[in-house]
Amino acid sequence: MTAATNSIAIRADSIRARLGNAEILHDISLSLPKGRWTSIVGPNGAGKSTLLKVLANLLPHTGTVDLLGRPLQQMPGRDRARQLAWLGQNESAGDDLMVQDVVMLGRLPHQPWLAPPSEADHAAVARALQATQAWEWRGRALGQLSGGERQRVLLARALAVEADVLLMDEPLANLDPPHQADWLALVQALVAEGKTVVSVLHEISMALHADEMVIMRQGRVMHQGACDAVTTHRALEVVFDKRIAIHGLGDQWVALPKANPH
Amino acid sequence: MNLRRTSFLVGAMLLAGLALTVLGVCVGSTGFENLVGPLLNPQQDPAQFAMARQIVWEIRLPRTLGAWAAGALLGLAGAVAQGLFRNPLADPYLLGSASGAALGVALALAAMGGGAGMLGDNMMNGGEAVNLFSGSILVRLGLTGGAFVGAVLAVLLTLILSRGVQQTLRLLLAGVVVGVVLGAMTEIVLLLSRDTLQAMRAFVLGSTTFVDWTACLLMAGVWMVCVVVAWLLGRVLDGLSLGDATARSLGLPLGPMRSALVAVLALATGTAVAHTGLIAFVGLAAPHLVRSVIKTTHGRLMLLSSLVGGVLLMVADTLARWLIAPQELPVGVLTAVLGGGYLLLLMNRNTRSARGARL
Repeated sequence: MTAATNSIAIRADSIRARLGNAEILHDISLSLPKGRWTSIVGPNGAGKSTLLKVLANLLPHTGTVDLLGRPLQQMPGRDRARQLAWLGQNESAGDDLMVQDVVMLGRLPHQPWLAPPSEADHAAVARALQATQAWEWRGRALGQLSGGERQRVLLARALAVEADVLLMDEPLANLDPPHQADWLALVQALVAEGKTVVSVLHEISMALHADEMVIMRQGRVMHQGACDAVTTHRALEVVFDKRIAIHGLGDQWVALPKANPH
Repeated sequence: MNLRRTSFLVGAMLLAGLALTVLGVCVGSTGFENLVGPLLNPQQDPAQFAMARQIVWEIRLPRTLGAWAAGALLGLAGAVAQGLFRNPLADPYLLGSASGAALGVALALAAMGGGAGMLGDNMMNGGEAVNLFSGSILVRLGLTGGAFVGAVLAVLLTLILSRGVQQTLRLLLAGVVVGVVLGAMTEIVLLLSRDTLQAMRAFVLGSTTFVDWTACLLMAGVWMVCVVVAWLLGRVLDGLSLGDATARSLGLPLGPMRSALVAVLALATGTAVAHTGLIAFVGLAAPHLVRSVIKTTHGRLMLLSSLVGGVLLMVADTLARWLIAPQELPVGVLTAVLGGGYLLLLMNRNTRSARGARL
């Protein structure tokens, strides 16, 4: 194995995916670096969530996806689940489950069939709940929590898998600004540990905090590059029809909507 | 804390079941006072003793325990259906099993002609006309078999129409279509064979009158198998409650596990319906009663719903025999009235909390 493949967490080749009769992803090929945070952005309907599902092998598709050098489609489900955690958009229901039971579901790939949770499982659940500041709700039902609180529990569920690769679809939904900042710190800590994070975000300013950015439009990847690169900023402005402008603010980048595109 | 509460509930339900068994043996067209004497002094009047023994051992005990088993099967099936369809208003009959069983019974009744009319007569006599009871074994076998085969075939038809178990909404719609079509076919059979109407009504209303020891043991056996399988698959339902994609991302093989759950649903419902007819609302209400007391995982929810379902049907059965004794109400009427009232309450509460959430 070459050094180049060693540094790739997910490699997708010639991906096509359909929803019903419509082709949503048209021949997408990309490589996502290991140990980095990549954010996927694009206008509504660009196919971001569909791409994320394909990368997690949750949608039928053609083409190949390799996870940490192994073909994803040939991996047994539990193997894949231990290495790749997925947090969906608007995960609904589950209202009658207790918070700690929800988070414990993240340990399913690690538990032998029928075995009760081990000490390690309980410890992982506790770590995940503490990381998202949801520990104090562990004895409450998911249905009793607010939208933002619920999102933090679901994030804890994904963290509890303790996978090397974490895919998140709109993880900031319902989070207030302080908790968005906490989420940023959490992702940066995960990346510092060597984990790979891939997130779909509609808030461009948040997405610009990532290391890498994949910019999509109409089912195609238009650009991939570092978040602080000027070429990435120009590509963003083009994809959003010059309706946004990227500005530097202190040590970060922000995207502001433009009232007049010209 | 949750474990302690679950254990407490399990204990309470088992105790209630035991108490209701004793009560169920006492209640009926022949009062308890007329049974105790002969049973305690067999030498005094051997004929009286034989009759009392027959009433208690061959009629009341099996039907009381049978009511528990049928209720337990329906409670379990209800919890499985609500978890599988992720819908708190799902009930065990959703996959067409009820209409399939009804059609099976209608066909069996039509094939047997007027002989099966006994079912209806016996119902109204309080279920203790011993000669009629034992004289209709063949009829009962035909009806039970017809109901079971009908229920299982209807579920299979639903599965074929929905092209498997992968898409829950498709499964649900196919179940509705099968229900409507088989319901219409049942009506045609009844129109062509008018003698069967009375017996058919008894089946549709549900009754524990014909549960003997064989039926009781069969239901208990099926219940044990279904409870074990459901318990093993509880985590799948927990995972599914967060959505299909999340469940699959956790490495759960959804296809085979869904099939196993549908099999549990069909087997439990088919067995209960075959022996006790279409008893309404037990399957719907039992999981809700459990949820109103404890929030827990699906494994425990299914077990508790099953125990609550058993107790619910025992209560309804005892009331059905006692309210207008020596006559007897069809137990399905009681569960429908009690369950319907409960459903109304539930809807009211849901509407109110939804309104509260919007404000």
